[in-house]
Amino acid sequence: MKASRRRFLCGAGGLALALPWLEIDAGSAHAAPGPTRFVIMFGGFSLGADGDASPNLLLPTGTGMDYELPAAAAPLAALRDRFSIVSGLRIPLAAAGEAAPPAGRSAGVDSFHFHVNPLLTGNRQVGDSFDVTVTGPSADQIVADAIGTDSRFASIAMRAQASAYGADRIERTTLSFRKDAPEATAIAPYVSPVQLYHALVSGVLPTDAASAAKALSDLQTRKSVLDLVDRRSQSLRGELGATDRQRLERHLDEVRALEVRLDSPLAPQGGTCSVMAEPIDPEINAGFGYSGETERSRLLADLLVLALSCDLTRVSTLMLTSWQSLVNVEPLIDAPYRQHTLQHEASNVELGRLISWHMGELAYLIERLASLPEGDVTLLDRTALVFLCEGGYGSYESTSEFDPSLPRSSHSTADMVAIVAGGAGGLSGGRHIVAPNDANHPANVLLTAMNAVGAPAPRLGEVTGEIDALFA
Amino acid sequence: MVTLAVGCSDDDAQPELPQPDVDAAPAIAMRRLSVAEWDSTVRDLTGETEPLGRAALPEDFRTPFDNDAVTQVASRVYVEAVEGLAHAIAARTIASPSRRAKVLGCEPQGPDDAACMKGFVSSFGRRALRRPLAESEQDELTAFGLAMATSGESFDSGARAVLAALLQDPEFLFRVERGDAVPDVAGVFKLRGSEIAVRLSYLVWGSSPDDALLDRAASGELDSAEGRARAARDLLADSRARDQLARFHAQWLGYELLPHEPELAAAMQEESRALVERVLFDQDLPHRELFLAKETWLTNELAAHYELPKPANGASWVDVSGRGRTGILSQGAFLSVASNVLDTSPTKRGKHVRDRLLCKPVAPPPPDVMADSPPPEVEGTCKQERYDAHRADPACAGCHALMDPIGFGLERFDREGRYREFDYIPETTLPIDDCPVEGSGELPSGSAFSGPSELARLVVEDGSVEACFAEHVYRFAIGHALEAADDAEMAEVALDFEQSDGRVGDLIDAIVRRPAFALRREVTK
Repeated sequence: MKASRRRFLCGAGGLALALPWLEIDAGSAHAAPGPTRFVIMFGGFSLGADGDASPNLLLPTGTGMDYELPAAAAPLAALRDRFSIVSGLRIPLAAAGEAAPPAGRSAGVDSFHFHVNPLLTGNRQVGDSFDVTVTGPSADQIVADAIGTDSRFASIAMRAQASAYGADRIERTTLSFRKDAPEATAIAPYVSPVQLYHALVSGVLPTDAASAAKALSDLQTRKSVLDLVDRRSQSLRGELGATDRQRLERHLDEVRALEVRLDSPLAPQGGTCSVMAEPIDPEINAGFGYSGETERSRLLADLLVLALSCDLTRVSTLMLTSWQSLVNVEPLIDAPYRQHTLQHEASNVELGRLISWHMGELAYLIERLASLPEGDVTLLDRTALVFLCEGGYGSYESTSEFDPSLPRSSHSTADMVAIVAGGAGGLSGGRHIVAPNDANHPANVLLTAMNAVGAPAPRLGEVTGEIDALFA
Repeated sequence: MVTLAVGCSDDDAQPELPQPDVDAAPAIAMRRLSVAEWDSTVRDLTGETEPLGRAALPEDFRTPFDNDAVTQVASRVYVEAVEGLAHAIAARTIASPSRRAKVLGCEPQGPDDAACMKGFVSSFGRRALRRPLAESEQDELTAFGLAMATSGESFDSGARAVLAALLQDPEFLFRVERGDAVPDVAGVFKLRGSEIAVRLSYLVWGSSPDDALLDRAASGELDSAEGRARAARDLLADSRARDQLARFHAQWLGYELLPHEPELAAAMQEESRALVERVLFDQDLPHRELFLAKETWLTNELAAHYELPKPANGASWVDVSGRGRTGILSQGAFLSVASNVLDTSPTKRGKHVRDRLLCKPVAPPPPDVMADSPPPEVEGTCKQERYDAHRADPACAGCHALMDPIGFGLERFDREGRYREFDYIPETTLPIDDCPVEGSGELPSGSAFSGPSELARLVVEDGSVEACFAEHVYRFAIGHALEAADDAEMAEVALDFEQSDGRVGDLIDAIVRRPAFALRREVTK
């Protein structure tokens, strides 16, 4: 482990962050538990390789408390009571020649790569099988509007896959979409741990007076500069056509948001939260297809824990690998494939190893969240963490039904599985739950988690209903 | 040829804009500088030698070029990165005495040296925003700089703050083209001189105009076709044009990202870059010679990789034409593009040749086709048999017949550019004796070929690669895929290029002379 990943608690000589409600110091009295948090993680894989007859790689045997964890989820074994597995999920597929059903995919086997809209917003895919238009806000943005606005960042989007690796659309490289009529706008994720680190810590003043004064002065300079930039841009607006003006406005919205953040540094208060030393970004090799994704994922998870524990944000998304990911998985699992082609050309042995890598990253985040006490509970107990996959492992047919007698396909969105960790709102772990027929869309899992964190909604896009068994 | 007289005309007899010119005006959005442009621009403005943007800015999407405004989404991540970079660059610039002197242009006599601050603001501001600053802007920025100098108790504090502000200014980050409305033609604008300078410099240099070019813009020289052509010739003589043409070819032919270990990828990219520079600049030959060159730049390592004889002195130009290799299509970089993970994909190569060399793209696969996988391995069959069988299926034949026959003509060169005569086991590259590779292919025109040399000769002889090169350069110039409205202008450019000697300079000349180069149509989406 590199020194850059070293963490330390405040008071041990490092930068001490302050926040009103959390005390980590083992000797201190119990503080009240913090707010609820909402996190979505995602891996761009299906649950079985084409034509492989062996079982769905994330489907447990048995249900309820006595289920058997599938081998691909082995990294989660020690955390069994911290999460539940939901199976039997599906995103419906249009019959050939017909439009997508509600919350479903357009007709065609390749609509698989473009079902961002159904999975994250609960809306149906629009247009043909290659259309990746997103028509509504993603679940995290709805939650951010409900519970995120009091913290410094209403939400934080992150991606561990360092590069799009040749993908040409931002929509398939992030999990977060902001409502922006008539379509939604993709939120570019943080990819650089260094950048995210500075975004997080630059708003928090050091505790010693001299450092704090210097930090305040730097913030004041940066704010003055941004203020000038914003002021000077006013006249430009009036000189642009409507489309360019809108582009400028969106840019300036972000400039002003940054200005506001610089203007409201968090003052040192009682209590402390978990901080890490400044990380070092792993090198990016966009052609080779691997850029230290494991290290990057761990650093981003550490920063996420920092942000959540210090209440810098309450809502986040962490995309491990993207839709139709072309990450070179050889360094991860010692098999010569790009992630997506592996599912077509290799077997469930290799794919199982790849899923295990993703489960290891999930396990790391769960462990970190569980390690931080918050009042009488832990940070994990105040969190709803949902892990979603790109695909399932049903048969593929150009009809709206999935026929179990047909060979199974990695381009299927039947037999999908989601993992829900954390205890926010009474979520409970330790079980395998088969989704009921009236709530078997992945968006039903998101809706359940939204309710758990205190952002209940009657629907996510076109999907209604929750999976009550997650609260049992 | 119709030429525009804008701005510099000394009478009122300015001709109305002819309808064909109005129709030819390209729709160009307010483009954000690409990461590569940001780095080059900052280097030229401040003397920064590190490509700091490449490490910190969100990567650009390629379509295949990195300058398409449609893919540029405003984001917190971008704005934060730019803000951090602006302050870092400002600090590094002022901390270096030589860079500081160049940027300031004067030696301040104290924190309140208003004359020096204003001189710096007006000269550096013009370079950074790529247009002259109005008096009121100069005053505002000067007052800001002096105020920051006072509070920071040094002139340099003020200079740093002004630098940081200009490096975040939307007019620095975006290529803003205001232009002047053409009377009675809604949504069409004549560019101002400095805006024409920006089009020229970002086309030929991938960076901002220097003082000399901005001076030419101010004199009205760029308003005429002849003036633009003259300026473009001068820009092409600068080393920045070499970098830009190297970058362009890597994006056009697709080898900017290679699926190899970084060392091998870099060696191949260097081989191709060397050829581009040699043919287009050192030898100043027609562009088509890039496809016909007999020599390639080999290092010991690369020669060993290709199993070619060692070059003299560890690295040199080597005639490889006797080995079925001529020109850029025979180099490892191009041959590495559009492959599967362990072996070539004749289908993907065929598609790539159609897209990039012939400009005859294939429609995307129908919705019921799983287009991700090569035909599965079948024990005891050779690769070509499997593809042929696939193509025998009438449902597949329609599209695959457009691609596979081209790709099979390159089959004797593997996915790392090595020559082979037999299929190999992908995991081990051990040859399969029962499966000799025929390596013969056919273009859509019906012409047969074997290997990249013959492919190159064919696409040069029938003019298709020259036309497709011109199309990609024009596409790069306007920053988006050609739309129906661009076709007429594209045809004019292609015709001018076809009738020229075929040098890169001739194509640039053809593009910048056109009246449309100094016009903009309002984007509506």
